[in-house]
Amino acid sequence: MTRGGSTAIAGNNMRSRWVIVGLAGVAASGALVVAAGAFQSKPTGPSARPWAPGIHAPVEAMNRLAPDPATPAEAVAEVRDFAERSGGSAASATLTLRTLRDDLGPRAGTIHAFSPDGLTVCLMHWRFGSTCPSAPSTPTPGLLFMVSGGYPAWARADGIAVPSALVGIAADNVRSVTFIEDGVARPAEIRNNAFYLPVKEGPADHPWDELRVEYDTGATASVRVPAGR
Amino acid sequence: MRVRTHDSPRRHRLKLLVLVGIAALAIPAVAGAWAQYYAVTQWFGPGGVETSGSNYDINYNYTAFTSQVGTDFMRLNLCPTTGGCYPYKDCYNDCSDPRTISYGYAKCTAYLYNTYSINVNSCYVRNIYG
Repeated sequence: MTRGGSTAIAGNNMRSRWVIVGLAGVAASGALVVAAGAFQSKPTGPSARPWAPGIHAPVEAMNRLAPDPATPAEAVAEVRDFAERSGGSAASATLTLRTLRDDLGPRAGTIHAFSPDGLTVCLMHWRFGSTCPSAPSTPTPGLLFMVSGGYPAWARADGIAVPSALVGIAADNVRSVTFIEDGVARPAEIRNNAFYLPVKEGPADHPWDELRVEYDTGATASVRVPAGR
Repeated sequence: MRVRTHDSPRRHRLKLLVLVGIAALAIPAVAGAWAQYYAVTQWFGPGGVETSGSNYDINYNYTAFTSQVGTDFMRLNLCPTTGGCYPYKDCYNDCSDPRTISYGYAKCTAYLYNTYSINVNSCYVRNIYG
């Protein structure tokens, strides 16, 4: 067999091999498409439940503050989505959206209020979540809050952790909010009815800390807050 | 006798085309739109947990629930499949968690020290394409 003949045969072999590799690749991709298609099927479950506001109270800053033109479009979308998912009105949530705090540091987001029914005040901690008063009872009426989980350093491209924080809206009749963490009282600064307090992270040797509220009347109330993150 | 030959420019282009074709088909398939209700109308006793499937670019976790007392609450977080989780987000009312994770799963938990079971309407997760 001539050298030229060997080359031609080798070339044909290589071409065949690549055709097989290509077909296998396309087949594998097809399998992935099918697999992904299964995940992309519409999830079953409730998209929303009837709007059922829980305990809520007036928040003066909602009436005093004007809409914030600097509110990111994604934040508006989040509020609309949350209102609809909770069974409220996306239009009402958008119309009533206000920025209560924007002084929370470069990664700590902003605090917004919105109302999915024109009356109930909900809270959005931008990039960290939203909540609406849906609980039928609360030991601290007039206080809407959540513990916004942050990011550990390993989850951030810049390697800088974002702290978890106690974030909330205090109604007009709330005089002060104090977080008792590891037995130490930490008063929250309430501005525009909103407050923000970074909290300790990691496991704790006790299950509960405490959030204490004092009302204009002098009455006090408190709610347990988990100590371990 | 097998002779290994160098790629001709034409064959090289063919290989590139095949590889690009595979990549074009595979990447959107893996990183596709995805959403899941991973808990629907069920009771979560203290410490009860449900987790979603794993996927890419998760950026929304949500729970709606009714607690029997206002002091009980639900926790949300995201976890990479390699282990460890983000800090919990604690919700005393319906709430969302739009934190992001490049690949992992979502978790919906009733706090271990809750007093009663919580009636969870839904725990829902989706990714940025969903």
